[in-house]
Amino acid sequence: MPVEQAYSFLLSVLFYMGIYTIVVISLNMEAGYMGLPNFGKMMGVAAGAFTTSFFTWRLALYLHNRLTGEPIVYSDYVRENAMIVSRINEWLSASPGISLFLLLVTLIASLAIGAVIGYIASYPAIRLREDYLGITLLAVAEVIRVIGYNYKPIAGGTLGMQVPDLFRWAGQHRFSVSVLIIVAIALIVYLVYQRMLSTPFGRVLRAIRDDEEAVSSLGRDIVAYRKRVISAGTATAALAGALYALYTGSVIATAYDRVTWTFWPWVMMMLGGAGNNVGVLLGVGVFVIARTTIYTYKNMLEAYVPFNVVWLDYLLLSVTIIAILMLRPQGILPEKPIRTVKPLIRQNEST
Amino acid sequence: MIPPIVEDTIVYSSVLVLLSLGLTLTYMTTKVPNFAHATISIVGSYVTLTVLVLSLISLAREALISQADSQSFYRLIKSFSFAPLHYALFMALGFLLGSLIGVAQYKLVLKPLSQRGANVVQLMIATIAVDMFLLSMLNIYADKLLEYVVSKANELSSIAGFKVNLGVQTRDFILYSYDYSKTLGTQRLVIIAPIMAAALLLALSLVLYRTKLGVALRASIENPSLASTLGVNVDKMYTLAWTLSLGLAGLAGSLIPLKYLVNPSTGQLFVLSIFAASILGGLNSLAGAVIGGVLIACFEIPVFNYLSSHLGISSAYRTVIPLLAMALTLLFIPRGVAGLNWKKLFSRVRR
Repeated sequence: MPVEQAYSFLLSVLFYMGIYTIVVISLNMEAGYMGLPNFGKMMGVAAGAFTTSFFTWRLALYLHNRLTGEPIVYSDYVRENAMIVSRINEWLSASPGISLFLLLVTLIASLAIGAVIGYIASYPAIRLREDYLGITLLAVAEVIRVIGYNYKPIAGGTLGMQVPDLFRWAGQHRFSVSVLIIVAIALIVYLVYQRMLSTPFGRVLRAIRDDEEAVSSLGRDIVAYRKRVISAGTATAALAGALYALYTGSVIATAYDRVTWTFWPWVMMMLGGAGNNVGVLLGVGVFVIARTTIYTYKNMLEAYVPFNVVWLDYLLLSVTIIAILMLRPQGILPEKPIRTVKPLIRQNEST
Repeated sequence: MIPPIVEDTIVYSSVLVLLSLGLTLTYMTTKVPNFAHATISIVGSYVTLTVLVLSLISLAREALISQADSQSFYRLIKSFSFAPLHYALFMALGFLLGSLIGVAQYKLVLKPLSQRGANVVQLMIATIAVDMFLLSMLNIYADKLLEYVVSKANELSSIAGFKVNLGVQTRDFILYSYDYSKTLGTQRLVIIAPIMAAALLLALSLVLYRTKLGVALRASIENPSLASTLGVNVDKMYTLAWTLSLGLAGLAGSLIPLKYLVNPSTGQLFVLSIFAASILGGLNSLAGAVIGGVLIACFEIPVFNYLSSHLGISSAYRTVIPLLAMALTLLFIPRGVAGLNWKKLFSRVRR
């Protein structure tokens, strides 16, 4: 029994680490590298999840009806959602190829929708000072959630919506396999970002953060960079949203709140070290383990905490932010100069 | 007889004006949008609830001492209505508590951080942390207050010999019935809120434009270094601005539950309307904040009501209105209504 428990704890930690790595690494590009106050990070995650709940079942249903002889008939998808998804799931459990194809298409669609939403969301304030941008992004994120909660076809409104299980073919290893896939995708995202931000592109972002005027005097279009970064960052977060929805098997708009998907990523980035991708991994690791532990031992904690343990999460969040800002604003691993390829040049400089 | 929609607009715009005025004033001093502003006003709402709970309990105790039977007891509890003293008490306490939190936020969080060289983004995330902290405190307080109410009700039940229920909730509460006046045929708030807002505006403008203190405050906002050279204690002035602003927020918040449903997280959505009002006003003008508050209230209530009844838009999408107003303002008049050159506009219209 303890072995099983430890395994499910490990699985949960790995899952959240994968998801949060994707979110926080993209936040780090926006906020850590470029200094964009993206207080609407959850909009990317929500965009991915809503794309999954809105789009994946339609495609799956279409393929099912085309490929099998017995089409599923329904009158109201939102109401008959559970029935339809369970029939799709039965079919998908025997066809890993189609499942993986659906996974790929869902991820690509999420990336596209995320990029578009990021662009639209930042458009009104992209030319203004960063405080305006922060307020606007926070507002847009909140509104996306409100729409997702009230417009039923997107995510089933107050009841939420089930999404097709694209990992069912793995049978009893469903959770292990899906976590493996998520961690692999997170690793790819990490490597892509690490590589991308080590190029001159990353150095321009840092330069914009440190001195906008100097950069624009050197002929860089700051607004164009901001647009590109917000679109890419939101698209990446949408990837995490889609994976989260597919892993949990359902989408409900209330799960996409500011605390979980905007402020926790901020704290993770700030603790690890804004502008340092290795620091991001560290920050994600520390907080995912801490929060999973709190969540797992909730009942035991209740004896020691004189209030409902749910609020401990908020307290921990706020106190950590202030403590980091006061004591070590650069984070555990501070930002380092980007390593360029030519060590030879440095040798020449020193001589 | 005033139609309810007009009442709603009057009350909502009075509250919004007080809140956006305070937000603008704090923004003008420290140049940080305070994301905790709305939650601090909800602290004022809980002051009102606490005043109500304490008065109800003492009323119930007196009734039981004079040996009321269950029927007359419940008639008495039901007919309880706020007296002038209650209004004065919760507004004063709301102001006091709000201003205390404001001073604490400025002195303990924002000032030390900006002395350590924190940038705008870091200061913004710090105000978010304060918001989270207050949110968790409010939630814990709501739990504790409910426990208190239940224990007191049990205590009273044992005295009375019948089951005592005070009919008080600490989440999703609305205190409409305690504010209803039979002689007016409506809520007293409809008169109190606009009078309070007007009186406070008058007082604030007298202080700002007719006293030496006001001159010093405006000087510290316009040019802090010059003001301090001339012997103005800029820090003191900023502290004063934060005291006044969040005092106003607490006072406005103490009126909110008389008409609107309140729970600890009410501020999370309300903050969008406050920001929209301030941004529409230009974020740098107190007169603009007043105009912005009234305009946003008009967009959110009569205009949106017209839209929802004629176009069939669900009332749940009201949150979209402040966002739209904010986005349009930023796109077309980024300096807000206060930044418009009215003379030029009029001459253009005349031609």
